[in-house]
Amino acid sequence: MRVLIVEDDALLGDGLQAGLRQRGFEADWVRDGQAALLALNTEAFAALVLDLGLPKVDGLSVLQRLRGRASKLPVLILTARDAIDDRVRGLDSGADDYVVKPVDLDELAARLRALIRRSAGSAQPALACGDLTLDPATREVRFRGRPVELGAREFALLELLMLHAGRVLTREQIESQLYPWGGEVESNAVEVHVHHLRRKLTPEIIRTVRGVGYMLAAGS
Amino acid sequence: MPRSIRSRLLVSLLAAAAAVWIVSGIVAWRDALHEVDELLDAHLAQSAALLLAQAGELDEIDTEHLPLLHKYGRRVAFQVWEHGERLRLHSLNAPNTRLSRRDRGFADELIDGRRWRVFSVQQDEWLIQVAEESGARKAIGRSVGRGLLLPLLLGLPLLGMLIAWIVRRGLRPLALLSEEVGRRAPDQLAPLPVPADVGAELQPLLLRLNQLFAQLAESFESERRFTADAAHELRTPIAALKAQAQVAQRAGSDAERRPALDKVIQACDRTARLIDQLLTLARLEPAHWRAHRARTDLHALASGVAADLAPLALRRGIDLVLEGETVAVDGHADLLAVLLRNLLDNAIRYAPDHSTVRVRIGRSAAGVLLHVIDQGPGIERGLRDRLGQRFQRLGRADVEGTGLGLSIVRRIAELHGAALRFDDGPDGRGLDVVLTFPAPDS
Repeated sequence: MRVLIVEDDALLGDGLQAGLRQRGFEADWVRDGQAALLALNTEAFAALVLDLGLPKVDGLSVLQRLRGRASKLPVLILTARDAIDDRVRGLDSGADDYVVKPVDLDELAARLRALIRRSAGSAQPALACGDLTLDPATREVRFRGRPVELGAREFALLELLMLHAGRVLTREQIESQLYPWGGEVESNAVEVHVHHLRRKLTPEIIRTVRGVGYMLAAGS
Repeated sequence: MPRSIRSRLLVSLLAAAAAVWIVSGIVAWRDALHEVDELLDAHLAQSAALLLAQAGELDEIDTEHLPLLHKYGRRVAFQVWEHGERLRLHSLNAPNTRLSRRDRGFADELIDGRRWRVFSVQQDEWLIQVAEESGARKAIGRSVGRGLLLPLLLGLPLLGMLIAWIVRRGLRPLALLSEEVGRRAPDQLAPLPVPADVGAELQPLLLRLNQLFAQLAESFESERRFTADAAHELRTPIAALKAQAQVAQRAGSDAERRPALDKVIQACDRTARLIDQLLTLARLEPAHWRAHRARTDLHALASGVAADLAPLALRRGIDLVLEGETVAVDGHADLLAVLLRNLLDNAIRYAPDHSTVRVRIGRSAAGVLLHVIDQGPGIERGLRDRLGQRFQRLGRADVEGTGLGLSIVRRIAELHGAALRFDDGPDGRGLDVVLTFPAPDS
């Protein structure tokens, strides 16, 4: 899952990025509100980790502009401001969660997973689709009762497809959700991962919609 | 426990009233005695004159059978002497011998163990002596004294009660105030009510107290805000510390762990620096400063600080220039060094590589001037008011800073009575921080 971290503090931003990557997220990190708005305009993210005290455009303005254009992106505010007023204002401005610094990385990852699965319309911690289950927290995948070993990208692709089971995702959508900036995307990378998933699970599980993209075959 | 103002007032007012009363009573009594003496003497003289006028025609008078016209009348006696030796006539209660040896005027005599007041008058062959027992006068004096003493004895307690009531009423605003202050919790610093009838003595006290309360409340509030700000400001470095530590903990390889651990150490250093600055700020108490005030050479101090920071500047190719002359200010050398270090550190941080940071020290009519000039991005005019407020970081986000440096500078400047101003650099570029210290007392 690709998340955007907006944090002006260098050491904290770096730590959040590295920590979320260790916990199975693709994390991008920007250091001010303007860069955050730009990134949100051009890229697709599964969730946003937003600091409030930001240079150029402050966090609440970022949030208000994001909600102003009807984005349903899950937003977790991570801030040093612990006053009740601030929490209320943050949540009422459209945040889905409000966490006061310092935060435990495992907890932050769990909150993000919960936000992401809720935004996909599910309350179950593990994603399930027919004989296939995927637990974002333990990073376990089971198919027909047997555990399946997946690489990090394969796992991320499968998770993405399962979150949007029954819907077609274009290659651009998949790429933008899977790859953070700075990582090179080979032209056929998505095809390669789809191929691997079909081989490790079953070929019919991912359906190709020619000229459009891919979808997870629901109920297979 | 100190004696209460009320009991002190009560006792001294009562004592004073009683003393005045007693003294005026004694004076009145003596006056009255004197008047009685005069009156009775006048009576004696009158009787004598009466007797003298009729001396030739007088025969034996049986005064025993004269009706008692007055309760003191019985004790009046008289003698009529012819040529001073032959007793021609006398009252029965008078002896046969001369009442007094004197021939004229008043005399006090002791006759048969009793005191008499005697008046003698002489005309031609007649000597008239009229006497009256002094006991009569004593009795009058006693009764006059009683008349004076009785209201005193009865009136004094009454006066005491009256004084007590007046004193209590007069001190009521004080009692109310003490009750009001006593009821307060230590952190309850709302102003005390100042009623209109509080009195000219208490009103300034109340107003001053309220002023003090306001100052205290303000300083409590600023303490509270500072603590909150500080705690708040520590959250981010600690969050970074924790995040980096967790990254290191979970790292799969040494190559991944090492940079994370380096960042843990960086985060520790930064947190420590923030704490240092917070402590510096907290220690900037006027009392501490006043005790260590001395004539200090600003130029020498600046050159020491510049030498400390030169390696930092050199690393970025920044030219650190100290201009000016030896100038003294009255101040605290350690604090002034902190001020200089913060200003120079800021200038170097925000200056571009290979630029010049200039420190200029000199005198002017306004006092001693200290300039710290950099060629960095400067600060927008509109934002300059916010410089030096705690935790206001207006500089670039990629320059490390705690947001406390300039507030420390501002505080130290305040303690030295120095004015802090932010100007554009000489060619409109960069920032010129100007401090104007008062000229040292000569």
